[in-house]
Amino acid sequence: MLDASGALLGFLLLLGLMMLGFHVGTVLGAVALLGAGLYVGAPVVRAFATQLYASMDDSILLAIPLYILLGEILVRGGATDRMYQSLALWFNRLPGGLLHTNIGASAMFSAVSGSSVATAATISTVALPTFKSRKYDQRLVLGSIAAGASLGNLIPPGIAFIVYGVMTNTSIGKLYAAGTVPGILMALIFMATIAAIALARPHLVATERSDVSWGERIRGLPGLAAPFIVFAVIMGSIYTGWATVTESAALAVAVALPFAWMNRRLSVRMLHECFLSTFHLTAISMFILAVAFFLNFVMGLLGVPQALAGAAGSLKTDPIVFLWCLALFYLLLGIFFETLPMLVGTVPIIFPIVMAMGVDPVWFGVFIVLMCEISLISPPVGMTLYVIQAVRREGSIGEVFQGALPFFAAMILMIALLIHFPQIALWFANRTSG
Amino acid sequence: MLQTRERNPVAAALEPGLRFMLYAAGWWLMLIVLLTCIEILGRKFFGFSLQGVDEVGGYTLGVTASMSFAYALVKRGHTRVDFLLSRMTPFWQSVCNVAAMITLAILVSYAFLRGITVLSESIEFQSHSTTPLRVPLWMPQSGWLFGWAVFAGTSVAFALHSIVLFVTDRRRLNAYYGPLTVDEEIEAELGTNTAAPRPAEQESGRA
Repeated sequence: MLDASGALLGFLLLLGLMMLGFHVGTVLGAVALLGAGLYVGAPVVRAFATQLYASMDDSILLAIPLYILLGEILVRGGATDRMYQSLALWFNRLPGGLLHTNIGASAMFSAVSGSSVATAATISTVALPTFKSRKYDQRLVLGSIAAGASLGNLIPPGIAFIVYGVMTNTSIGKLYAAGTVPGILMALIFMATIAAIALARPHLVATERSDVSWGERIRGLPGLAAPFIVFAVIMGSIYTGWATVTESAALAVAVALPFAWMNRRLSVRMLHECFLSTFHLTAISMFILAVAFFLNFVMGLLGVPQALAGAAGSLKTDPIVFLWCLALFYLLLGIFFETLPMLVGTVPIIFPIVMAMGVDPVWFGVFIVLMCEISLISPPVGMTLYVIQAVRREGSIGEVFQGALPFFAAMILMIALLIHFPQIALWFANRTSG
Repeated sequence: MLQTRERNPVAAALEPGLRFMLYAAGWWLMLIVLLTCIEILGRKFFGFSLQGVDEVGGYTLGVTASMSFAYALVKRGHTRVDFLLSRMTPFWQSVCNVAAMITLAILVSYAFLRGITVLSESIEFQSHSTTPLRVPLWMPQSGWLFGWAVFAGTSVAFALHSIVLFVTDRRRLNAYYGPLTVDEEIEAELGTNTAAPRPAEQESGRA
């Protein structure tokens, strides 16, 4: 048995080793094996592979490669090519014009693609040349792309919810439902931020042509069809109870293939490229996950969750205050860690504590995923900011930081809304059986 | 700074075989997609069910994920935190890089060796899944263990190579076995991405 201070020591060891640049999977495994060897005994150490096999033989987790494959097929199949131009027709009248398109396109792209690096890189390469000839403030252009790319995991189907759901035994269907409203609200807050800046400082944005006809807009709709239909198939099949999360992912892959075929992009070579990217990303996630499950297993044997819950019970802190402290903790952690290590490294420690405080597990999933998203755009370290700077190859990273700041503030506002009005996440989730 | 374009010869030698393995895994995944769609439609509209598609799906993840580990290693994909690393001097970077490769090789080899026991016990006790399919467990476990074997072999080869480089050429060690830089990561994302046209200056601006 390990008490709360022992668990904290192990947690610090974990973070310290990660900081030294060891592979995240190695660190999780080493800490777990060390804990098992020191406190439980050799049989648990020898059960390493048994546990690895048990956690990898999981039909729910099959949703991870399937959703990644879906994103690959949509992108390589050309389904996202026309999305940007089509969206631009719809958003051009809003104050801030084309900047809203960045949010919308990034949000749609990231909703079907597993990786925020991929989103930031792809939308930047499409959007930045479009902005070259227009008189927008560069910083706002960059900031809006970064903001949009950070929506990826919040709007279903994200990988982060699958990971959280499996680690904490929370319904992934409910998590997806819970993420939808905050995800859309977040996008709207971003757009309101752009509109507010455009109205307050009109010289920072260009005016788009205002003579786009409804006919033009309607003709542009096929460019949005693929992402919309795929999203509808996934959410629809989960909520009508037709399909499990994994089955809905398979269904979505099958629905995405005809779009690639219609764009004349479907070929064996294209599929093989999709397979390589899919398994590359799957391997990265699954190696960390499989070892993290072993760590979880060892911590369970050590009684860590009970020790932490007991310690949390004696804290006598107001849950709201505690959640704000957690938000600060994740902001700091986000300086160093990517989404997945942050999730698997902290959930086993933090989850029992917040559960002991009576926090809803579905709500907490949305909270923690939102915190991971914020870390992606928080200056001076957010990953997407560097990706965008690397793609544009001019100016300074400082401009990207400045551009991201209003959106960073908008996300902090979102966190406040989520903490003080938990129904934003729970209202829709409680209406689905998931 | 060494040109990162230069490929790690060990990685370059291993990659073609690993690719081929993943093409096969990909087609297997497509087959599961097909079976799952038949299952959903059959269950919903035609009142029949292919028993055990989800069970086979679980095996599919176990086998395909373990088979993809080595490929991600060759592509330097496995996650490392480079916040401190990127601020170290090249010497300390090389120390951390060689240490990371050695510890990874040890952990993965240990997982593989313990995995042999998992498989041999399943064979010895003739274990079956406790489902209507009654799948003999050695079948999925062999595929799963094969993936770990390839991962272990690759990580040991990398560890040995990085030890040699630590003695002979630490600049190469950092270029081959350091975490991906942001530029390299974007290149990996967009390099073969036909959907995203890259600005011309980006092609020429890269050494």
